[in-house]
Amino acid sequence: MDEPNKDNELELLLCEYLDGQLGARRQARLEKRLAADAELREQLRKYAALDGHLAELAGGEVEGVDYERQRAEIIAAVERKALLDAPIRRPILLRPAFGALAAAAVLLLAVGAGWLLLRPPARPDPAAASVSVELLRSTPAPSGVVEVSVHVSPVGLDELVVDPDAPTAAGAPGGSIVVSVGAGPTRRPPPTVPMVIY
Amino acid sequence: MDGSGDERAGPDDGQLVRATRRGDLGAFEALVGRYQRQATAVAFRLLNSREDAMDVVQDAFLRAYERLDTLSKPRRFGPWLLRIVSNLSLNFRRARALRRAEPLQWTDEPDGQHGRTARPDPSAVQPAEEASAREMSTLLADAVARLPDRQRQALVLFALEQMPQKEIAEMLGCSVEAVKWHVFAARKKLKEQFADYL
Repeated sequence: MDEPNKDNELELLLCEYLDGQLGARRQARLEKRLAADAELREQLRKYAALDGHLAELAGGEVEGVDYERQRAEIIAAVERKALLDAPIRRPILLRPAFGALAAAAVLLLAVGAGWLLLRPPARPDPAAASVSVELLRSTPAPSGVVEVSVHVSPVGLDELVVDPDAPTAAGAPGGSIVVSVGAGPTRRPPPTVPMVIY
Repeated sequence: MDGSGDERAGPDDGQLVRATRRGDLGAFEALVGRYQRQATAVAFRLLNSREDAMDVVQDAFLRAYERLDTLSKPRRFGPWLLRIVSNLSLNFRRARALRRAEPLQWTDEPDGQHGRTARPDPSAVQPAEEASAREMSTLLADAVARLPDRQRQALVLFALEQMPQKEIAEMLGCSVEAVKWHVFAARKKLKEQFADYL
């Protein structure tokens, strides 16, 4: 019964009639035909009887099923599933995100350490060790006093060595001075060192 | 399609589906309560075995829970669930048939012929007037269980579960006309098989 034929089409019409799926015009036509065809009425009766038996089969619930227990078993299965699928709470040190961050930090440290190790050694910048001497006050020779202000930029004060006893300074006519300046960067403002030279 | 009818108070299916997606297992339990009877009935009609139907229904609810995120229209949970039940039932039948190969239903006849002895042809066993209503129901259920898959699905959902053909078409992934034809083919087969009973 896989292909429609005239008999099938007629019987399908009977089923649609029983299902209330026919429009008013088709229904009226079929009823007119039924009134005149006893065999067709018999077919309709058999389909209606079959539908009655099928309706008895339906009968709502399946007998003998404990629905409370069924529901409990379903929910238990779902809870197990939910538990298995839940994300695992790991200590922060074991979480994948932390691992990535740690790897990035190690990489940065390695790059930084490599840069520090491989960079050329720092050399004094001559421009950074400029010294200017300003004459503040002087008295006439031979035992005069020369007061100067020494500006060291940008070298730190603690790196400035002034040695007035140096041989080149002692007894030098005209009041010459030797100032040695340590090299190295400093963030302090350029110091002003007042010195009195005898 | 409104499930069992005794769990309809409160939120609608769409609300329960959305709550379940947020992790509210209580909402899913409400959905189970709403549809377990109908799902069990459909599986039972398709499998003709209460125990098998129970297994299929539990599996269907579990799958529904797992795939709830794929349900595009949460308010259509019922038809979607019954579609899962229906498909699982068919798979279960095929697996069961392969497992059993129905060995117990084939016996060696004394004359050496083989024949089905467990499922007698209803038209050859008893006259209609001798068959009680219960026997008729048993024979009819057996005959429904032996219909081709599509015809059985369509008939069970339409004639037994009273679902609209449009909804069945959506569930089975075919046209309404195809559903109508499957239902009719099943009815005609049963009418001919039970001609003496009707």
